[in-house]
Amino acid sequence: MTAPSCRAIWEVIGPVLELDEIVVRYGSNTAVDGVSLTVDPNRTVAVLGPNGAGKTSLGRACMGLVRHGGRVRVDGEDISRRRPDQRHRRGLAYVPSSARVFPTLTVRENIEFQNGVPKSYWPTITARFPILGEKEHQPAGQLSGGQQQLLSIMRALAVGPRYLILDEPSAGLAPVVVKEIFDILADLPGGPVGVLLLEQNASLGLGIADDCVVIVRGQTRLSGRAADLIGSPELQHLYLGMPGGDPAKEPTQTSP
Amino acid sequence: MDTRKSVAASGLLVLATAIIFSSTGFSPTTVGILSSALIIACLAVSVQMIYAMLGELSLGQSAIFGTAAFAYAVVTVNLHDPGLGILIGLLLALIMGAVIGGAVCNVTHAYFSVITYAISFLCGVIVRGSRELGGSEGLLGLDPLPTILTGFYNADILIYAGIAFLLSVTLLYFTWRSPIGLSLEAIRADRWLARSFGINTRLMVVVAYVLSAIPAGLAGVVFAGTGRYVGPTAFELYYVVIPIAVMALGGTRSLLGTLTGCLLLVAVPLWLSIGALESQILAGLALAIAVIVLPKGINDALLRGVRLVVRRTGRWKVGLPRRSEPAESSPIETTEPAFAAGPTAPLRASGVVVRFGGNTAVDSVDLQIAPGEIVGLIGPNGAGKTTLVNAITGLVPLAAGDVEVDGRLLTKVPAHGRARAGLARTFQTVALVEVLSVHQNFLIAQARGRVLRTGLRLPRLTAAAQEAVTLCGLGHLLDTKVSELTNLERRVLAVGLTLAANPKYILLDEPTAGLSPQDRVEFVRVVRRVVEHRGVGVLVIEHDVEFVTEIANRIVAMHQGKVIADGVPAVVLNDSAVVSSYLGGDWSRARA
Amino acid sequence: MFFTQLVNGLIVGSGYGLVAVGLNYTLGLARVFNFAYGAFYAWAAYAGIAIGGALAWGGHVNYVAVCLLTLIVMAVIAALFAVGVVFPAITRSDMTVMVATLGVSIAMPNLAQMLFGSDATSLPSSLTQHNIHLDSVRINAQGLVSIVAALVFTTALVLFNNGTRIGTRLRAAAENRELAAASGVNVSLSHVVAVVVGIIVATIACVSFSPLTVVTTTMGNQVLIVAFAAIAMAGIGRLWGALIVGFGIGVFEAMFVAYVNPTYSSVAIYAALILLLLVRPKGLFGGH
Repeated sequence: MTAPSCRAIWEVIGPVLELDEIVVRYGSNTAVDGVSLTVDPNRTVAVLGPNGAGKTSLGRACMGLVRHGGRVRVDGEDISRRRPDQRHRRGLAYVPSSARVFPTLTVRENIEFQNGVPKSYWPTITARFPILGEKEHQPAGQLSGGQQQLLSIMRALAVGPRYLILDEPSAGLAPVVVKEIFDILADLPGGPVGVLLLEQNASLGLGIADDCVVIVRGQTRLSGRAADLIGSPELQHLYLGMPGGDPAKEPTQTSP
Repeated sequence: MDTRKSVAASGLLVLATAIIFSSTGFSPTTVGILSSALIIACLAVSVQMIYAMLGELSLGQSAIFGTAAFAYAVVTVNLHDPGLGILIGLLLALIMGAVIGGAVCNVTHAYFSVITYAISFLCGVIVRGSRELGGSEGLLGLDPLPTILTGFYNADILIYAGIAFLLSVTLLYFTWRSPIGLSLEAIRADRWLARSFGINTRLMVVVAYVLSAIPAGLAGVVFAGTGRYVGPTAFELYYVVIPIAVMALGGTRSLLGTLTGCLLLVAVPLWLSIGALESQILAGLALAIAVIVLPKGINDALLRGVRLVVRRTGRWKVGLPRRSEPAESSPIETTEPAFAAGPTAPLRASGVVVRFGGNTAVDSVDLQIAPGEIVGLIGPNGAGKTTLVNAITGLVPLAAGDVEVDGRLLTKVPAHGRARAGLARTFQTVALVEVLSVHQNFLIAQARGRVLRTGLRLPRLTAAAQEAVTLCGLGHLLDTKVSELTNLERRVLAVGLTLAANPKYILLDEPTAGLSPQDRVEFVRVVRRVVEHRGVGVLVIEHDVEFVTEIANRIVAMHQGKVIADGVPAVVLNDSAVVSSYLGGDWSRARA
Repeated sequence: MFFTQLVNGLIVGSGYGLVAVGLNYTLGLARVFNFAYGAFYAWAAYAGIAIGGALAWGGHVNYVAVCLLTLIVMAVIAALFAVGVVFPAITRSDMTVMVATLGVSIAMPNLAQMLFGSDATSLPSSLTQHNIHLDSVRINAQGLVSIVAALVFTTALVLFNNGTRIGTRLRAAAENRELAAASGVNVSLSHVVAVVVGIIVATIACVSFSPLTVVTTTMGNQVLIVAFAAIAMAGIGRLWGALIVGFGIGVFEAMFVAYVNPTYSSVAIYAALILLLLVRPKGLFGGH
């Protein structure tokens, strides 16, 4: 079990994304209350928890979109005082839970407006996802929810980030589409990327994650390997969103 | 914290100023300076009324100011009756206020400011081109205001200016506390929300402007009657920007700040004989610096400094007062029965068509909700669910079709009228007036937009609103600011507010998004309690099919703007068209 | 007579149009309203006159040199303004920007009057003396310069906006601040650039057109209202639309003066502009 709080700073070897005692406050409301975790490159960490737990605030704090206490370190470098665009240059990429694309920019512009996108990127992704190629010159606002989500993920990966922050990739999408997106997330194109996945639906999150942290009301309640946490009664108690699951009712495994 | 401290502090300031200035013996210059400062203070109050309550920056005060001044001038030059001049001046100020208010009732932000600015500019152009109004030179030798007060001309001028200012501030105070002020705050928060409360947003903007025209008109009349000259400069940017600078410098909700600002920006430069050019540059720069560096005004900064020095622990607010009696102590108003009986006839939407440009968002939809029924509305993103609700409530125009509520045809009725007729709704992103307390939100909701009747009286919770509070279990949170509530409390409050208006039908748009499963259970309980108690009909838009099954008697499924199924949950959820449009193959297997 | 007035209208309209394009760019990109925009236009005129005076050798002034120097000076002032006033104000709120620029808009003309005096003068340009003859119509050379400048620079701005990566990044920053920042765009810098570019366009409009008119301290206010009315009609962010509407306003004004009533033309224009602002027929060119 990875217990990030046990790792002293000098024991960290090699590249890693570290969130160290992150605190986010909105007025008198404390959304994130001292959460710590690490993301290794090429591994996926799922941050689970019910809504209002502080997952989105954690993601925004990591990207610098909101003021936060605590430290964010990329490969040992402290970027806590950096603006979001500066953190992007240090290797962080971000996909928000809503407003994921630039609606009036074309599909291609949504990817290539960034500095440092290789010329080979567009042909590569249109080969794998022809739908993007078909809509190359259409305003991104005309795409469906699922297509916009796909576009947003491709935008984030375009500059070859080291760490990708995904905020509620399932939000606002129909279940069929969510499944397709998560299939893609399990097999991301491009080089090795450490993924910080913020997700309310635990079964989806656990399905593709290596490690998992569960936060409720801004505090870490559980952490461990994803495989160990599937089906754990503690997690079930915090409501997984499994089909038919409702903690207020007795679980009925057999029908009368 | 009450306003007695602020009034006392302001009074002290005025007294101190008077004493200091009277050392020079109330010379005409001193009097002129002080009355100029007070005139600008009145204009600042006028701008504040619009800004503090509507959140818009109005640049039209100089149009009203100039109109009142010129009216006084024309009347006194031709009829030599200052009393009549005052009356006509004020009357025309009110009319001008209504005109400008009517012009901008639909617009916000930059448009609001530019249009009001353009109107002031146009007035200046008209006056410059008109010989009767003095052309570029203006009108001279106006009759002074009647010297009836002290017999001393100089003292009278100051007293007139002082009276104008006191009247202005009193008006601001009472308006802000009244139901009118509260509903303007709701408009400031979200116009659609305000309309869903039954507030006629356009009318209220006009009302706000007419009320703000009183201080501006008083200022204009006093200006003309004491300076005895008016010219096209009355419409200049100066009389617009200086009050704004005063407001910015003094803090938008501070009486003391207004006086301080006027002293600094008007009285002191005049006293030091700083030229008009230089003082305008000063004012402009002060304005720019003030909003950036001191967003709450110089007084707030000074007070914080004072507090640090004196180390008081009490709260030193010299702003406008709390807006209603403490929730616990308010007696029930008995103008209406505790709650109206529920509806007797259904809500019927027939053949509703909504188009945006070339896109048909809602395509010939029939929907019916019976009294006491809970109907779930499901469908994938873009199916048209929210648009349908927007069309039924009148926030979005109908291309075709009819809406009928409890036997009354509402197709031609505007949104606020439909709210008053008993159609209540919540919004997908919870819409509440964040800066106000739960209690104050209820005061707005219960009024159903009929605020002009109560005028400027202090509002109290009606029996219906009280019951809504109880039904939703929010009694212990009445004085909490909405921005400090938890997600569940906000969602429940949104439902409670719809109840305070005695609705017949409630339309809930994704009311449980973001709630945990336990919270959803609680929410279902609240809604069921409401339906049983009041006999209202409820429509719930939801993505979570499971939640909808729990709560609804009937489900309507939409897809691409059309209704594709309508019936009991078990039937609809197994309908293959519904399944394939939204739920996906996996779901039906899991539910089987 | 008709064609002469039409040409006059187009000349005046070119001035209005380019000015509106500049403000529309700032408004569309930075989504903040620069109330001091008109004041900058007036300042460009004053700066041009001052530079023209400084460069006058034996009574002859090089118009192109004046234009270029004015452009440079105004760009510097615009940058100072954007960094010193707009940037800190944006971090607070949109209202703060409006109010802060309002403050600047009242300080600047008075400052101009203090520095340059209130004698009415014109930007010096020898082109105002020349006329070009087409059939029976006489076109003033300076006026032609104004029209050409309006067309050329609007095209350039549109190309910059849509065809360059920088332009696209600026559009992204305008559309979704947070996502743009999270994708590596320096949003604050974008807003500053949008404001500066707008003022540069206003300067170009000024040096092209104002040799034909008398410079006053209130010309800034007039310019602001016309620009905003044109934007209201064309739609925020629609650059070509703003230019065309500007031409339309100019032609309307010329026709009104010629065929209806010259004395009430100012009143009519401003009343018409207010009507435009109120009615806002955005459907003409789309827009937000």
